[in-house]
Amino acid sequence: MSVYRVWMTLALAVLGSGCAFTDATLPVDYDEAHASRGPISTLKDNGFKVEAFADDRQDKIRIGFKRNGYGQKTADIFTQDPVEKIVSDAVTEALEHNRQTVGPEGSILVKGDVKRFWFEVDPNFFTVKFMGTVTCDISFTDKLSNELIYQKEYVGNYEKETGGGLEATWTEVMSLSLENMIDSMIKDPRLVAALKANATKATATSSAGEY
Amino acid sequence: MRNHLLYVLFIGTLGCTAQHQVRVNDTEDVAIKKLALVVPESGSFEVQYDRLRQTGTSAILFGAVGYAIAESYNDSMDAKKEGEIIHSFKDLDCSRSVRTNMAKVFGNESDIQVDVFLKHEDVAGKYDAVAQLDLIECGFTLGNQDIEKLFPYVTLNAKVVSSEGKIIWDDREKIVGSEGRAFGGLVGDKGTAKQLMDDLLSEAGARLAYNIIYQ
Repeated sequence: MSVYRVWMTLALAVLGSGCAFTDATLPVDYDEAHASRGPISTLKDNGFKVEAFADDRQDKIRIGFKRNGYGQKTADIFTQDPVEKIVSDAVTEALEHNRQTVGPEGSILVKGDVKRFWFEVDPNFFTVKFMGTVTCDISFTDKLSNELIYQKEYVGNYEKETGGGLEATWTEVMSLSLENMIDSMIKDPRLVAALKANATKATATSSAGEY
Repeated sequence: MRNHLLYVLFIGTLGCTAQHQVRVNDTEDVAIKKLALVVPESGSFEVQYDRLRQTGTSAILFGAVGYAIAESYNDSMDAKKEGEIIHSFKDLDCSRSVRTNMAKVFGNESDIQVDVFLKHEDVAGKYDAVAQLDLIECGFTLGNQDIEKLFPYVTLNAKVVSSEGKIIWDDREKIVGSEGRAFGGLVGDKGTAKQLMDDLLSEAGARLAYNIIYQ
């Protein structure tokens, strides 16, 4: 009987952690249905041009590891789309949702370096905490004067502690981390102040040029 | 044997159990002209330095007792390092800072009339909505297991309910600052640590207010 129990335990262990050995690819995306508005939506539309973002992560291959109960890495976790595209698309959608035009003719250049896009698992005794971090250094530059208007490293985090979770949960954690990063940009009072000041300066320069 | 099965089941939950979470974020328009803002004196100042490095390994290898020992060891490591930073923030009231910063944004950037309360029971009068913000904790945390820097953060539960009982917003927010410092840097330069914390609380207050103003 005891041999039977040992085999049962081993079988359950293999069954229980089997999917920990295959790589996972997550469809992380910015959900426009969750897109929020901030003070940027009150600004006059100067038009933005969002350039292709750069991937400046230390680990450019994966966004995290699957781990077993011992904390050992067992497989990689990837995103379906490149992380820099996911973040730049999110920035574009968020600006448009805030009544700003985004296109090639935009007068404010938006550039970004994705610094982190990372999923981590913190297993505890009865629960598992899933943690996501998305960090992107975003700059806003006046295309005409080539002057830097504002630059900040925005951070988005999301944590979820449950009894367990599959790829849907991991995708949700990373998508909400991205959403929180975008939220911190859209609701950044210093960014709004800088854009307002630039608009005022541009108007003054343009008026002066008329004479 | 029962313990072994428990551990096996625990391993199984790490990658193979489905779990669904509902995140209420109903942004259907509700006109808010008068708001009761309830921000109780709550939460604690935390410094999470070693805690995030901990894994369930001790639970798997040594069972509940081993886990408890490992946890208490980690806690004691935390406590020693945390104590140095916590001491320099003994006068900081994160709830009050968030409350003050929120009220400032409402006053400067909206037409919403806001009355601030410390307890839900104190809310008296007619309001279009009641916003309850319960600060869970604030302090400094490691950005990730791979990063050796500590970042200011605040975690709070936020719930906004209209006078008709409709939930406008119900979420747990963790706001982390974008600037961090190594542990030694925070201990050695308390002025910078305070500045990082002040900036974060100001940003948190603005974001929370904007969530209501631009709902």
